[in-house]
Amino acid sequence: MCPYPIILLSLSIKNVDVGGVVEVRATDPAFERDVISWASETGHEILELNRSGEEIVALIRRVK
Amino acid sequence: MSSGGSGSLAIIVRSDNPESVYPALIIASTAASMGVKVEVFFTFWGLRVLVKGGIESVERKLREAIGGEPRGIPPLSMLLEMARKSGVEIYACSTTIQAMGLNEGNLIEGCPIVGAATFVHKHVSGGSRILVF
Repeated sequence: MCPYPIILLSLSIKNVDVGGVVEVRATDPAFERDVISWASETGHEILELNRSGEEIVALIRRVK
Repeated sequence: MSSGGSGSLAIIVRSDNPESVYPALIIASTAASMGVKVEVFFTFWGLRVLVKGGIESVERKLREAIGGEPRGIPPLSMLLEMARKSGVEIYACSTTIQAMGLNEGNLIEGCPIVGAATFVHKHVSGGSRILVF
């Protein structure tokens, strides 16, 4: 549910080293667009973004 | 640290209606998670949110309005906690505190009391974007 996935992603990515990858599984239908905006704003890299059924799975690499 | 987002955002909450409080805190925590510096200033009826028991009261109002448990929206207490974890700073309006005969002891923890001059100095002079709910 909005804004959970984005907030938890931003908190989680601080816990991995630069170059590390965080996987997010979200059912919030806005997450697919939101994560693209979030990455554009923060500079982190989306490695994968897939939807399977109601679930959206994103792999995000910490860039800095 | 994920930084790269820019600017600062000041949010004024002047109502304790769910349609003001929830969007204000959702925008606040999301902006903070995108690298924006965010401060939320609770004034007039918005200050009730920070009075002990106020969060539960807003949650109750939302349940009544919807006619059941809200789905797809986090509990307000959790939203406030997430906002703070993401770096959002929360302030209570000093004029409202006095007008309502309250003091710091009536508020939930971690809400410094500030006046209009502090707000103007930080945000109007400082060039923040300002949202009013």
